[in-house]
Amino acid sequence: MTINWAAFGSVFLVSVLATLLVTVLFAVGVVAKGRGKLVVAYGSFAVCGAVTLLGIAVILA
Amino acid sequence: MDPTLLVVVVVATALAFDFTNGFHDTANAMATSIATGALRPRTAVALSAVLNLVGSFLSVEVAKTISGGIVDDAKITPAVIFGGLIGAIIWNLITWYVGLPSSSSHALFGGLIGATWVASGIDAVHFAKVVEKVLVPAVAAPVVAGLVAAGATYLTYRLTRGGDAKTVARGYKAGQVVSASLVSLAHGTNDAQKTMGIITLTLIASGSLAAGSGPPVWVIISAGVAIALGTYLGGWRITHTLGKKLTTIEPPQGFAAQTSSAVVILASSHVGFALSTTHVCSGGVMGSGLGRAPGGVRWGVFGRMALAWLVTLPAAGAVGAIAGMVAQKGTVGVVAVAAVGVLVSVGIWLASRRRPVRPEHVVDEIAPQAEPHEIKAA
Repeated sequence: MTINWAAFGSVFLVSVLATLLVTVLFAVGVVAKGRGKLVVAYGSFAVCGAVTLLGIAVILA
Repeated sequence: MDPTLLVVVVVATALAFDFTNGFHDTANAMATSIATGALRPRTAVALSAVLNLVGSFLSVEVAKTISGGIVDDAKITPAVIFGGLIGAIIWNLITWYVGLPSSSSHALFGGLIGATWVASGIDAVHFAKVVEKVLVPAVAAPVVAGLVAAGATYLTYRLTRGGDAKTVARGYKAGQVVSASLVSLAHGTNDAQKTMGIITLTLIASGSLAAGSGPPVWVIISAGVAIALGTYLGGWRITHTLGKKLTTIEPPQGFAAQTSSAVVILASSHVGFALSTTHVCSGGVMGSGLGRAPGGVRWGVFGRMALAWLVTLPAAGAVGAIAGMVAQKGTVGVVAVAAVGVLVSVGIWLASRRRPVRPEHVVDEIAPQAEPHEIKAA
């Protein structure tokens, strides 16, 4: 039995970092939009969109 | 039994399993979006169905082995596959009836293990692989997804505190749709592939296809359509559990849960530490409940879910073992197993009609919250 703990660790690490990035940026975007700071809002959403595209690329890979 | 007829029976059963896989797993992607009102129930299942169908065409990586090394593939015969599929279908229907999200892949593995065990002996089952590929991931998935979702939810509520309530609710509903769509797409590429792999290997085993062949176009289309139809049916009993009973879900929380699930699923399939979509999504919903408010999870519901996860493999295995044993007796055996399978399925379906769970059960009490409202901070 070989449990690939390194792979498990990297799944956890990547998950934490990517989720952190998206949730923080999306929250910043949503709050900024409510306050009329559209540049900040759409900039944040654009990065979230880029991460989503990366996700689709992973599905296709 | 006429080998051609057996192949036809196995292909039909594999598609039936694919169909149950579809409605069993609709909740994974769509429960939170339906519960928060981000999507109307019918829109949600239609979107998920289309994305599952698209997903089934996207991936060219067909499962080379049905079992991932859990059982000795060389010892799998069409009768064993048939027994395993019947075990998986019946367990999927039972867990659907009681509204518990359990892994369809684990049901399939369990069915195959049981059928292989009685057909070829205990040596044909690789138990070390069972621990590695089934048991450890089953514990790891909800823990990872739960922790990530709890952190994401906590942060989300902290950061949006003081934000414009209407914009926050609207923004998160839109975000939820994107992350749920990503989960649906990933699901289509993974789960429809399993059925395609089973059908392809059955065709190879019977000599209809050359060894090493990819799935014929009709296999890709029929597997994709079967899982999409199942998804469109909705699986409201499980959606009800994940969307409403486990915890109450608000849009920012649904977004955090679904984003965490999407990221964990994609990271795990990319790195090669395969985690069940069902376990990840259930863990994500639970974590988001905890992240919003300590005590935000109904532990009784979670306990029953966890119990179902533990029991899935042995239960599907027991049914698969009996079905596989009888199916090996030749034509009469296969017909008997098929008849019992159909009878049990119809029985469970009829029982479900007595106390049906409809889309409105998932949204009724949540509906007032679905309008933009003040988001309470954690």
